[in-house]
Amino acid sequence: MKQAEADSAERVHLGPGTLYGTIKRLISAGYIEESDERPDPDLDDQRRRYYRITPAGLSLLGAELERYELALQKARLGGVRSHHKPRALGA
Amino acid sequence: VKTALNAPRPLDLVIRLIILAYPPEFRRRYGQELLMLIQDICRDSQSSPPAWRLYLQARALSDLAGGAIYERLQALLENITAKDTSVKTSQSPSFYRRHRQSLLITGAALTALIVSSVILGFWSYGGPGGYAVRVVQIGQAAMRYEGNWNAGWDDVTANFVADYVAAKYHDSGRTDVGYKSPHAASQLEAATKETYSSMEPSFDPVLCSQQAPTSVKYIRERVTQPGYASIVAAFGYSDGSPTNLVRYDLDLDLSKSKQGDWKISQIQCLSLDAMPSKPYVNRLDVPTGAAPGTAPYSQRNDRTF
Repeated sequence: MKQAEADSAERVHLGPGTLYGTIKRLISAGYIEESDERPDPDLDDQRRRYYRITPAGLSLLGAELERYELALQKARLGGVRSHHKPRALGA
Repeated sequence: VKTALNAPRPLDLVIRLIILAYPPEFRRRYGQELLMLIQDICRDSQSSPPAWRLYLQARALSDLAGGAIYERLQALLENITAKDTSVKTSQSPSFYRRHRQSLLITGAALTALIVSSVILGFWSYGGPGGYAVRVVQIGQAAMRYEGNWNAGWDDVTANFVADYVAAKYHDSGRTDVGYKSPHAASQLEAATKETYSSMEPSFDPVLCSQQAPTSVKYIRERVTQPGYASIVAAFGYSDGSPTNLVRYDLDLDLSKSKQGDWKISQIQCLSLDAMPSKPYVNRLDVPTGAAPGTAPYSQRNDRTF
């Protein structure tokens, strides 16, 4: 949730209900799965679950990035420029 | 489930009730994680100022509640549209009995939405996010006398002056608002308290007047150096005749506390006759973005009592 806020310059606020609804759907679609890898037991809570992206998820992510890249290229070729100044991320 | 939420008991109860509103399958699989995530949010927000903590918790809870309604409706739709007849129960007589909980929760949520839209003007605040902001605004208003932590220095001054004039001249005639105000720094509190104890009761050591002001305009607002600000409150005293307006000015100095809120550290009465032509010549002026000599916020806070 914090990563989503930081990556979007605080434009996206991902709440707990939205996050777990999304996790459920991504697992159902086979794009992520539960991971057995766990951090140092001293730093970990045994009840916590960890998730990782699957090969199908990576493939979908690649296709999405390609689609965005194409859309950006087309927009830039058409002379479209961002009107927004980039916002600095918080420290 | 062993959970020691870092949250007050009523909030803990609300969180558990909302998680109970999720479909049983979802709750079994993700309920524990959701609870731990809320626990993290509550722990992280503990160090925040009260109004911001309220905002973070309201935002998380509104999202949690929205998720419960969405998951319930989706479970219901999946059941109705399922092609596998062994899963599909919508045609069976027991369908409404089996999904009674989902229907009741959805109905209750919709009723709450309609009632809250009437009471709080839900739609004028742009959905759940705006609704949470409205909740915080109400919380901030309720906490006014416990400290307006996130107000700017100009608003702190305006709040102090408005509270002071209202309490001293138009409400209860209280004379302790000068040093009991949440906007007064400790040194101002001590100085005002001492002055009160040694002065004649009829004289006001804060406004330096015995008469109720009829208006106030804020002039010469400026940040004197980072973390320090100065503002002049120009009080008007009128007997109703526009030609008989007397002006009396107060010079208020503010500084930012360690908690990040602005406090009034000093108040000086300025007689217009006694005012030097360049009263701020010895101060380091840091521009606030306004043109020299102009007051960026004064019109917003100016008022007639």
